[in-house]
Amino acid sequence: MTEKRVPDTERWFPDVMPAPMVDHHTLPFWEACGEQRLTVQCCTHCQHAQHPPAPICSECRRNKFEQVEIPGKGTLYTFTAVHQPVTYQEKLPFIIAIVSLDMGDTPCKNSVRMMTNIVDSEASELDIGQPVQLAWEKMSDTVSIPRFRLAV
Amino acid sequence: MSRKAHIVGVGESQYTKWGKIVDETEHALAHKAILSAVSDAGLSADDIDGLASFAEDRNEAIFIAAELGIPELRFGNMVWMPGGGGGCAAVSNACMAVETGQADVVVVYRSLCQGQFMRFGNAAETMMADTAQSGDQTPPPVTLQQADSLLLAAMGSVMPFGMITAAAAFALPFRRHMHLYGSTSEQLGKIAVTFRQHANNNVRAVMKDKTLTLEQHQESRMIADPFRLFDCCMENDGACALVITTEERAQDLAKANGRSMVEVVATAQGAPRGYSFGAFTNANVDDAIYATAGNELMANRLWQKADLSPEDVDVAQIYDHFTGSVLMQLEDFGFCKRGEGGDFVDSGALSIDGGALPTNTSGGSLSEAYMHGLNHVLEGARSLWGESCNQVDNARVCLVTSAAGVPSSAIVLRAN
Repeated sequence: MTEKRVPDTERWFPDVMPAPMVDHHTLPFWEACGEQRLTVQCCTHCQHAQHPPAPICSECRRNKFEQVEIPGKGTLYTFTAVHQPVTYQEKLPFIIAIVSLDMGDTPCKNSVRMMTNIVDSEASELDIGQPVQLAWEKMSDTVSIPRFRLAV
Repeated sequence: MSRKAHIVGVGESQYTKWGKIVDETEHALAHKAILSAVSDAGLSADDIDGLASFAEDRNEAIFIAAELGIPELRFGNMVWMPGGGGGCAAVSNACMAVETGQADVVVVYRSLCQGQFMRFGNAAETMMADTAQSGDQTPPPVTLQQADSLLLAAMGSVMPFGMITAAAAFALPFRRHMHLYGSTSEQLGKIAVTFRQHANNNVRAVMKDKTLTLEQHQESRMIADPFRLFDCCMENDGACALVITTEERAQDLAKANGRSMVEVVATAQGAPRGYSFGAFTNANVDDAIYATAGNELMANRLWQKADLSPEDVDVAQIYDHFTGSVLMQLEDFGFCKRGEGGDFVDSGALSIDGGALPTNTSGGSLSEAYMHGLNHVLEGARSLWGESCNQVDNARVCLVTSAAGVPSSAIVLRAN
């Protein structure tokens, strides 16, 4: 294992996990993640929320947005336990999931789902519909990845 | 006499496990498959005036045409539907070219040597080799990066979660299907076992001599839960091709070789709203279609264009990258109701041995070869010519599908 670079936070995945590939549209999301704020793109005209961020609103086709912060709660929509290595350094199996996010008191008119990982649970402990909560993994000074765990 | 498109010839190279073809290039295999297909039709390379492929085939038509000495290339086409989703779409585009008079004889081909290039099932190996080469273990900072394509940019948003393989992507909608409808791993096993039994009669099949039992399926190692090893298609080396021409020429060729005429009755390609790169990136697709193959709208369109229904189908060649995707396609294409795909499989419907819908009579991608599903079209034509290794008596109508859980395509073939 590579030595942990950020030993003061919980770590589940190795440093060599693929880093976010960021373009002009997704930059605000990943910058907010770097500050450990989970956000979604919300259209300022029709309040349609979408993720990942895109250059145009798929509902009203306008292009003005704000990146609004959401509470980091949700429910498990689906998941898979992956037994094939991605980096050869991660612990197998690991869980890829899609969670339905709680939009909190944002102006967003719809909920969005997000791909993530479920940490601290085995696949056998998971059921679709279970409540989950955000668990940040700080990969470096500027990169934090929003993973989730079963809500307590 | 109409220009309605027909399949008049099919051909392939040998199919092997990935990495076994080392003395011939992927590129040379493409030539071999194309020449075999035109010869099967009773034509020669001099008759070809169009080439079509899909899945970003590395063997571009312009070079294939030049090297084969094709007198004049009048049509060259590559499909946007990703990966295996483009197989029937490439056939569809060839049909459109023929029917609109752009070209007279179009060859659809796919050449794929996963041993000579990257293996789809082990992207990690390629990715980590790059890291090892650069020696850089430092997590890169968040900086702007222009991806080479929108697809790569979209993958850039999910790869930090370890989403890189197809098995993991397609496991997600099927896991939800299990939750909603109670479909089971045993039902998936029955799909794998049935297709393997079909392949055991197929001299071309990579798995010709390897039997598979339900117990072996259930004991095979997990890849991406609930998909076990035998729920996943193979990775192979090989090439295949088929020839599309007009009804007029098809009739002359059929007279010469005594085959029935195989009409491409209808074709469809596409994706539902918001589908993007399917299961890899479509977390926000409409809830009503998430736990499906994403093909219902396209399937309805196809049946309507063909003026046929699922009950008319005698034999089916269904894209089988993963067993769960087969089960969900059976529902999308209307062979059973939503949520009843598992029961349909349990009934033995897919077997050549008395099943209601003999499916993947050559063994499919799970057991014949993974040629990105173009081999399913070849088997579709053979099953209507009476030339299948698992022949359905008096088969007249065949459905062929290309992919599921990503933008897809499908065709209906009929023997006349």
